[in-house]
Amino acid sequence: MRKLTVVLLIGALGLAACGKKNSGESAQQSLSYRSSWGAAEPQAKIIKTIFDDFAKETGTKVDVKFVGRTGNENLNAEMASGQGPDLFDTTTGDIDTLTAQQLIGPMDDLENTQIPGEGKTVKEVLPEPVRRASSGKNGLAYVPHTIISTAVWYNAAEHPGLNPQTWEEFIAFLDESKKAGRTPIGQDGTIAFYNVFWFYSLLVGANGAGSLAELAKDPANWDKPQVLDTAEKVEQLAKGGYFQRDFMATKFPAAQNAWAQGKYDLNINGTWLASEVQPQLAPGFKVASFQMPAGGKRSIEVGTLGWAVNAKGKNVATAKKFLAFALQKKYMEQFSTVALNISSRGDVPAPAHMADVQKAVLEAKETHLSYDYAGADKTWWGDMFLPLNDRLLSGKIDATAFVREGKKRTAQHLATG
Amino acid sequence: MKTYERAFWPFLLPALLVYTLLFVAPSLFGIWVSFTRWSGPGSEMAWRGLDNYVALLHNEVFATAFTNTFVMAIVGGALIFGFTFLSMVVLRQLKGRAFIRAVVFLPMVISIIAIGAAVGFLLNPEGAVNTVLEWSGLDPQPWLGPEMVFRCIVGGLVWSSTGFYVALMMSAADAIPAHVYEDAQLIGATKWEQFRHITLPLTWDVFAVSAVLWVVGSLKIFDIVLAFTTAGTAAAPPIPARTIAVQQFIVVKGAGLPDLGSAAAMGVMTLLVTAVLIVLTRRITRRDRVELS
Repeated sequence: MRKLTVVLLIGALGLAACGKKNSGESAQQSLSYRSSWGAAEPQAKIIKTIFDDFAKETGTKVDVKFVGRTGNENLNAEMASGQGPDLFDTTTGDIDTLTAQQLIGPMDDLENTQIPGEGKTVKEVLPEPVRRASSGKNGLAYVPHTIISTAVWYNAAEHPGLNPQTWEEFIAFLDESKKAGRTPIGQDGTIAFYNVFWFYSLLVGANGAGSLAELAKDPANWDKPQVLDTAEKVEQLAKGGYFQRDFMATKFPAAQNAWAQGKYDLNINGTWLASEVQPQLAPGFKVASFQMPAGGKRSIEVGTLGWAVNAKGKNVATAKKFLAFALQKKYMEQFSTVALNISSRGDVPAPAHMADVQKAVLEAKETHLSYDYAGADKTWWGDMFLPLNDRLLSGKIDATAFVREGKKRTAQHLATG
Repeated sequence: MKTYERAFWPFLLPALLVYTLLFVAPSLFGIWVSFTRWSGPGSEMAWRGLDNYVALLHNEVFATAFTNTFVMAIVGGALIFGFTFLSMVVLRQLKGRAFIRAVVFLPMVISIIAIGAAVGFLLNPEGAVNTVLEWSGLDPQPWLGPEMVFRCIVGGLVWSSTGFYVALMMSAADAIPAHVYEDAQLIGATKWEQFRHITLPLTWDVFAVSAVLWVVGSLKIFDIVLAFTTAGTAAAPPIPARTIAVQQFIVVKGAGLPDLGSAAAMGVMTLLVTAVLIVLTRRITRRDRVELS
């Protein structure tokens, strides 16, 4: 028995030693950041510079690691257990999860903080749609550095000024392209959330925020005429033979790369497209975009990428100080000039190929979040809606069947959920 | 006897503690989670009773994933062991069999990322396979489209896993003394008869273990599905290609709040199915051990 006690005691001491590690407090300010960007990505280089400057000017000890998309899988669990970095990367789509897990706290104090040397507050440099896309039910959730949106992309060297204003004009362009022996649209059809860009952009573009998300909430919403109308437009695309052969069997990124090579005229995609296909672009290719001619409210998608403060981290105040520091124009400009993205600050011009998107975002009277936040009910979205949309876009079902099935399955989902 | 008893607890306890702490407790916790709605540490856990299980039984997508997993285990298993037995018949006396074995084993070593990249290159509508088909006057096929992708994945699975079982079974076959086969040849046994009456009975133990290994592994098939479908993106693989493990990944990692309760319920169901399949496999493969005297 005495030996048993000894064994237990050793075990207990071991556990106590494990727990001890975190209790040490140091006098010097410190700040840690674990990034989902890979070290070689331009964003990582920009962020590294900001941290280096921050360390130099404030004497803070910074610990910055770039682990990439796949190195951060357990981040939420780590942060919830009180480990994890002070700052981390996040996007519009993650706000609800982070809020539910109480990993992000209130940021209103930060909104009114001055950006060093500019005489402006955080709130003043971030346009309203950008702040909205970075907010959850408790207000601002994180500080965005990049705006993302969706558009139809084309080569302005081939089709200068292409910007159809109505659905008819859009279809006329597709028909003309087909008649000239070209393939109008390249689509990576194995990616369901790229296939849904058509239905989503048309429906939410015309009917505004909430018009897609509401389909998950009540089967009766499927009866609204706008749903059938949008489905008929997608059916028209499917039946028109505008996509490349066997597009539903095309593995990403073959279609977008072929588009960049000039094999197809159009590709509907996010604002990340241009930097993804950069190495594949045919000589003289001038990337440009137009908004899906949805008509109606002409709502524009605004999503953001940014830095969040770990509410359970040890250095919340320093992390917020860093965020105000990072929003300085000289840094935010680099997200446009070096990372070739649209910076979150309204006063930083976007790269030339994204000027159309930035203009649309800043001039938008109505905006909506990426995918209208319809993915929040993930079973509905991933198991029901996206597969149903795949069948519509691939021509397996028509618009009427799409609406009928959607209504029926939403009712089933809500009953068993 | 007394000394044994005194030494029993001090020796057992550390292992027992570690095992309980790192395996038994988390497993029981997983079962507990399967009766709740929970988005992970930090969020509130709400009791749901059997609702997660009931929802899964009504979920057509889970049913597809479940069926797919079974088809992979059984059809995939039949193909893999079919090829394995065939190679044992053919390769046993072949010159350069070590080389062939190494070649067959190679896919096992290749990273799944590389396989994913190769799949796009080979099986895309404009890929190498369709190009060859067109040269030979045949119709190109939508290999990775919703109708065919599952069959392609099973094919890929057989291609990447067979080598492992060939290596395992062949090393058991190599241990059979050559004189047994010489005797058989003298009385005029064909290659098939030699396999049927010598190789198979004498390697049966290894086959039984291999079959269990395959069943356990096949119920966790995950990465090859991603390699064939959405690798490199955050998208969920199309429904016809999903397995239970993929579906589990989607409810935890896809858009929106993680649904750990549902994922845990899938885990518990997989565990039960695995247990049943292992018992069945052991039953089917149970034979009296054959020993050379």
